[in-house]
This record gives sequence, C-alpha cells and structure tokens, in this order.
Amino acid sequence: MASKLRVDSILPVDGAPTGGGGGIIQVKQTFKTDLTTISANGSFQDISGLSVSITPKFNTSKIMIMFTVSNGGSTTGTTHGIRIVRDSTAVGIADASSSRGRATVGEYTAHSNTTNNQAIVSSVFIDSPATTSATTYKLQHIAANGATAYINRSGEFTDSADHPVSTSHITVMELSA
Amino acid sequence: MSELRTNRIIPRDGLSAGYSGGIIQIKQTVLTSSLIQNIDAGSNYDFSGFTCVITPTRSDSKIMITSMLSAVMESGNAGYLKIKRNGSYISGSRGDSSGSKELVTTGIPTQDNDKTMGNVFIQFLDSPASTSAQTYMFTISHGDSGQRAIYVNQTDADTNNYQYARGISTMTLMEISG
Repeated sequence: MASKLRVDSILPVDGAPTGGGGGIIQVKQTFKTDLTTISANGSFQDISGLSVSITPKFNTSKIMIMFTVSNGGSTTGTTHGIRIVRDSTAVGIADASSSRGRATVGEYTAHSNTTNNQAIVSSVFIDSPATTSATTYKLQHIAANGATAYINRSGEFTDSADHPVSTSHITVMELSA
Repeated sequence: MSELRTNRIIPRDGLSAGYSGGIIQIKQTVLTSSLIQNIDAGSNYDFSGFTCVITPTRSDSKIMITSMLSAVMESGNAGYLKIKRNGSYISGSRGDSSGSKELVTTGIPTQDNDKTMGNVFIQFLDSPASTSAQTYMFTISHGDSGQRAIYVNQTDADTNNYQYARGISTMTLMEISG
C-alpha cells in the first residue's frame, strides 16, 4: 500500500517565515469551460462560474488564490479589470486612487483588431481570512458602461477553428501559518 | 491538532532525477501602488521597489518564482524582463545566446493605446544552493532607440475615472524540497 501522511499543518522546523506560509494543506479549484457575456456598467460584476469555496482548517492559515481569465472584448479602447472578492470584501486590489477602478489585474485586448483577440490575465495573491468558516472567493469584472466582455471567447466569434473557445479558472490553496 | 515540522518533503521512494518534492514555505510581495519609470535605450532598470526575499531551510531546496506583473511598455519596441537573484542574472533563466540579441526571460507587452494594461506571467524554478537570504528582483529594458516608459499597475492615460483601472503585481516564492 502506498504511504499516506495525514497532517493538519506543515511548517518549516523553525516556523513559517514572517508574512509568509508553510506547506499546502488542501486545494480546491473551479474550472470554467462555458461562455459568459457580461454587459459592462461601470461597476464590478460577478463572473459566472468563477467562484470557489474553501473551509480553512485553522484561522491562522493563509489562502493562496491563483486565477486565469480568458477575456474577449467588443470594442477597441476599453480597459477591462478583474478583481478578487472574499465573500463580500475585495482583496488583493490596487491602492485607492480617486475614482479609478481598484482591480487585481487590468487588461486591454491589445490588438488593433480587438474583437479577434482574447486577453489572458492571471494573478496569484495570498490572503489571510482569519476564519475557519466556509469562505468563498470569486472574480469580478469591470469595464466602461456599454462595453461587453466575453469570457472564454473572442468578441468576434466566427464558427471556425481559429476562433477557439477557451477556459478560465480560480484555484485556492490553504497554506499553514 | 497534528503538525508536521520538517524542512524536507519527498516521495517515500525518493526523488527521481529532474523531480522536486513538496512545498516547505512560501513568501509573497504584493505591490499595490503604481509606477511610471522612464528607461533609456540600452539601459537596464533594476526594479528595486518590487523584490521578494526568502531564506531556504536547506541548500538542496529549489525556489519556485511565480510572478504576475501588471505592466505595459510605452509604444515602440518591445519591453523585456529578466530575473535577478542577489543582484545577478540567474543561470538558465534567459534565452540562449543568439548573435547580438539581448537575452531575456520574457517580453513585456507594448501598449496598443494609452488605455492598455499588460499582464506578464513568469514562473521559474531556481536552485540557489544556499541557506542564506535570497533576494529576487526583475530588471526591465526595451529594444527602442530612444527613452521609453514602463507603466506598472496602471495605464498610460490613467484618467481619473472608473474606466481606467489600476492593478497590483505579485511575486511569490516557494521553497520546494530538492
């Protein structure tokens, strides 16, 4: 029989580094393979199918959130932003700067033929939720009012192999700390 | 509560060549402020405001560097990014030599217009062979003949309304058993 180690916490012998974490205790992922269209309204909106819940074993644990979003757009000259939300609180976002959107990552379908493009945006952020209750992490999108975001496809969506359908994901890992 | 305190996690039968084991510790630096940096032609800009430090528990450990840099280069030739450990380029982290070409880890997108934000992903498994503190940093350059700006965590326009998002950049270091 294969050996199996069951343990609640994995730490370096001398403890976790200041501000950091130890080994990975558990992992969850939501992998999105379907298409979503978002009619932007200038506010952050949930991206359907890109949320994941995790119940930390300890309130000292840290949660490492990793995500990738494939995002097509409808118009040129529009900046899209993606942010992480823990339950109802945005985490891993930019410093406040007047009225500018505070995102985790921003992107623009950087191609003159924007509607033929999918921008791939990713990030890794380590959060400290300080709870042992079920915690939901989700991704939200923002763009200018009137713009449209297409998740897992390009804006132009011709029925041909060179307009592929893609995937997005959000993965969470509990780190001992 | 059970707690495993260890400086090495490997499969029961050991590691085969080219493999690494479990994760021992993780550190992360998050940059939430924005930056505009002008870079002269042919110059290398050490991004000293965005570093991450980790002290490996064993000299045979590897360090997995994973970074998401929200950055875009001003219009012109492509931007370039290289990884430094303790002030020196890491062996094997740049492309093979090819004539006079600059050897880099990856490119940085050039703006299509002043609303562009870029997203640069880097992942590299380093072997520092040390138990001293290791500082990782990026060096940025470009291939243009004049001075060019890099915009980090913001767009070039950076207009004060919700359409112009600001972002963050993260560098994550994981000590992996070797």
